[in-house]
Amino acid sequence: MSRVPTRAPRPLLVVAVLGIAFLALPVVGLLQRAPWSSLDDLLGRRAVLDALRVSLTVSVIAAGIVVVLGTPLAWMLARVDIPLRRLVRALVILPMVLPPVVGGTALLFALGRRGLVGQWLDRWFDITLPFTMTGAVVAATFVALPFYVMTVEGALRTMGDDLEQMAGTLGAPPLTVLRRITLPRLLPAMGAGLALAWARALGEFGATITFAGNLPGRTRTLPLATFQALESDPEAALALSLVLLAVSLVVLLPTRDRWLPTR
Amino acid sequence: MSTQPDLPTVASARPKAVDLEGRLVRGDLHLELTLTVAPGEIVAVVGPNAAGKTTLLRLLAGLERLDDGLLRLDGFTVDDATDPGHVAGHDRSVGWVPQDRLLFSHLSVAANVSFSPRATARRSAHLLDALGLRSIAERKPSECSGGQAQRVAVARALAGSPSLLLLDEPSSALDAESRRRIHGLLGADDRPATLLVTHDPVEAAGIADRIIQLEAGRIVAASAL
Repeated sequence: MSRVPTRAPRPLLVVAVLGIAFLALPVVGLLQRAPWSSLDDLLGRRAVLDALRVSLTVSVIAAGIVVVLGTPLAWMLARVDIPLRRLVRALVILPMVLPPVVGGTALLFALGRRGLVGQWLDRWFDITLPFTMTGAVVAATFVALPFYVMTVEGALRTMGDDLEQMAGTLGAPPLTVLRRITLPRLLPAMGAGLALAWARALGEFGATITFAGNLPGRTRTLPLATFQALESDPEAALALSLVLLAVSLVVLLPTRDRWLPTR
Repeated sequence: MSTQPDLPTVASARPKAVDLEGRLVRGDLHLELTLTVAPGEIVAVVGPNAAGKTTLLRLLAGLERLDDGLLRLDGFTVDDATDPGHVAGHDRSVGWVPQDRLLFSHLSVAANVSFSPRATARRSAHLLDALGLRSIAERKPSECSGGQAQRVAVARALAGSPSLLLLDEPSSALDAESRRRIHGLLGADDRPATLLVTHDPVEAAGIADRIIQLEAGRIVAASAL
């Protein structure tokens, strides 16, 4: 038994196909111009390896911070009746819609050596964030956090708190409920949110170059190296782009249930 | 927050399992009733939809708060509308079996049954056997039939040896075997006081000591069997 499919209006189909072509074209262009034969050599260069190392270090640490900060935040937004919830959620989403350069500028004025908090970090703890790898981590965390929080909060809302209430009536204290009921059921969404946040951290450009600069081996991440190479060495830029493209495709795997439904 | 049991007036008398005189308002529902349940007594609550049966169970389970009045379980004051120090649900010795069961889908049958921190390994094992769940102990709830899932929910509620068992439409989806086994447990000597919500007068008459009829949040009839 199968349902009669909805009849599609033809103009809609035409425009939809145009949309597909528009999205596919850049990928095809990249693949078609890729320097496949010299890829080994290009990716083995010092500058590329440095950028890869910086990118992996920065994005993995940022992703870790995102989980530690983001899980309680998502839980609070979904479960606790906090005052000004809408304002808090708007604040969480802000880095998602804010131009990254603005985010980087804001970080500079907050955490820079003369910034609101940065001057105290500098004076009391001798900590300087701008133009350091730590600064790059801060920038990546700032832009990536909303992707994780939004994903996890949505999952918590969909799950509801019925099972948590049930566990409470059985005598489980709140931390036990969190550990044995909430977190295990939340794991798939946390994985999906983490993948999105990590991809966003890895691709971060604007906030990083504004707040952390473009220092080889320290803050020059893959996107910055790609942009740099485009001027001097287009083949290297293509090779770096391929690496980032491959990573993006890998990220789609754990999120495929969410975004790539089988039907 | 009062956790001291009131001294019984007669030394030998155990306090009531449930001693409720209160009122709560949730949307259209105005629940207002006086209800006592003796230790070991089985009380069936019958009544039409939206009469407040499920809300009554949620109140006793600690998931709703009284707007007015007093609720004592086993002589402990667990809800006092005049006192903001409300004791949370996990401090009550209550086993709740909601109509939709709310089994923990990521845990095995055995882990569901032994979930309560009040449950002992021995008690959980006994319930797995008594309710015929031993052979499916390692399955996930999604792999259980409706009757099996219902038995898991009952076993989980009883594993912590509650003094009050709350059953919401326990037999609505039960096969004959599940019904027999659950009713067998409710006939045991060490049974807890039980409040049973049902739409089925035959089931109510079959296992309850007493039937109360609820309509629009009030008890309109009560009969001892």
